[in-house]
Amino acid sequence: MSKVKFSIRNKSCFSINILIKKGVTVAKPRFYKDRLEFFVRLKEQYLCQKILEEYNIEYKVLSKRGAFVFMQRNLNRAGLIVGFVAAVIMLFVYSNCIFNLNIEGLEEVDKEIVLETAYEHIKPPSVFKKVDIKKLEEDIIKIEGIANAAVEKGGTTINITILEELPLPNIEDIKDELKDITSKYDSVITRITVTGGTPLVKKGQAVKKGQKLIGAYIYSDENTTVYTKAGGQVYGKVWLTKSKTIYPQKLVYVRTGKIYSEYNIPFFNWINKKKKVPFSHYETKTEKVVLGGGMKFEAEKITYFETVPKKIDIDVLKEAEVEIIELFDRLEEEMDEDMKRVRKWFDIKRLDKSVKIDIYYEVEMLIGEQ
Amino acid sequence: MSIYNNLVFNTNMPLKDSIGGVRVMLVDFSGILVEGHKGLFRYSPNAIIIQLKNARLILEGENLDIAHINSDEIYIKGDIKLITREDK
Repeated sequence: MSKVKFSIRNKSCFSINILIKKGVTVAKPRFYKDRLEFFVRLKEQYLCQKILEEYNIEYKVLSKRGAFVFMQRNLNRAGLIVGFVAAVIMLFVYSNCIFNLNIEGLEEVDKEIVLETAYEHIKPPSVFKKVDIKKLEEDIIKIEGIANAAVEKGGTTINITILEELPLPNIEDIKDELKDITSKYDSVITRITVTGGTPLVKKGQAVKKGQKLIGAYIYSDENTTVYTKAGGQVYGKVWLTKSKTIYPQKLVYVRTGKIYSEYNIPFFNWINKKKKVPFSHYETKTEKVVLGGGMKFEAEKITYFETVPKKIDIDVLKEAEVEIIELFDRLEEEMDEDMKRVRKWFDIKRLDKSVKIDIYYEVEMLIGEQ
Repeated sequence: MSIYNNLVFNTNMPLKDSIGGVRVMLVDFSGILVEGHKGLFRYSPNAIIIQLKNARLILEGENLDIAHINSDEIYIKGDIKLITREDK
């Protein structure tokens, strides 16, 4: 609203009262020592002046404010008007331009696919082209992997916010996993850890091979059983054993002194094909030799020594000592690294014609796991 | 008081339905609108006296400022502390 600021010499309320009585609206009157200043509407300026003149009140018009006054004052300034019009036109044109396409929220879907779809509707930079935002949204949602899209125009940019579809969850089929955990060995339980299901054994309990250790179910209340995946680890003491019988007589093969030799010459192997070794039991020795006088070549010489079986008496106890060490070494080799060695011992039984050795190894190991 | 306004009071009708006379509306003690005044009697930033038909309305406060005034209403802004009536 345009206003005119007046200043009058008379500083009493009388001036205001006569103005308002004649229908003038006075705004923001300020009383100073020697003057009174106030505002009236532009359309009431001449009425105000007429009233003040009528009552012989000395007045001054200090200033005029407002858009209409500004326009009146600058109507003859062509440059300003042209500039203003140009600015309005520029603003209008600029607001109808699209310079950018901003896509957000893409992780899995290829950005190029979304851009291609968007370019079907608008390809920046473009001027005075109407974009059907709803249709663009619908087309973007049709792209595989996109759950929702929001398109909005902000200034000269088209902002596309995309919500991608969530990846399909990995459905785990646990139907085959509803199995109880059973013992792999005859054992005595030392430790039990349960991550799922119901434990069926306690520490110190002796179990047989194949016995259930952890059941694949839980009790939700007294009468309801819920099947679940059994999980956990059960450790127990296991005794590994090996045995061997040693007889007082041992069968050994001794050489008779008869020898048979043959040569494997390169490119002449077919010569030896039909030859047979003339001994039923024999030992062999293979060596490489050089044959020929002038023209030397390498050949393989195989020597067969005839042997015959012979029974010899042995010291059973000495042999047993050796066998015990050997059996323990063999057992150690067969044991896994994660088996905890507890203790080991052996047992010798003297029979009528032989000696029987039994060795034992007590280990703590995993007997059931899932 | 006019007959109509007397009827408004006696029949417990809303006060906004009253016609003529003086009507004062105070907003948060920061602004006051006085309708039906008869002119400004005295003005200072601490006190404004408004002429009514048969009385004067005295507004006391701090930084009192007349936002606008016309033949019907006067709107005053400022920290209003006291409103009193002075009969002629």
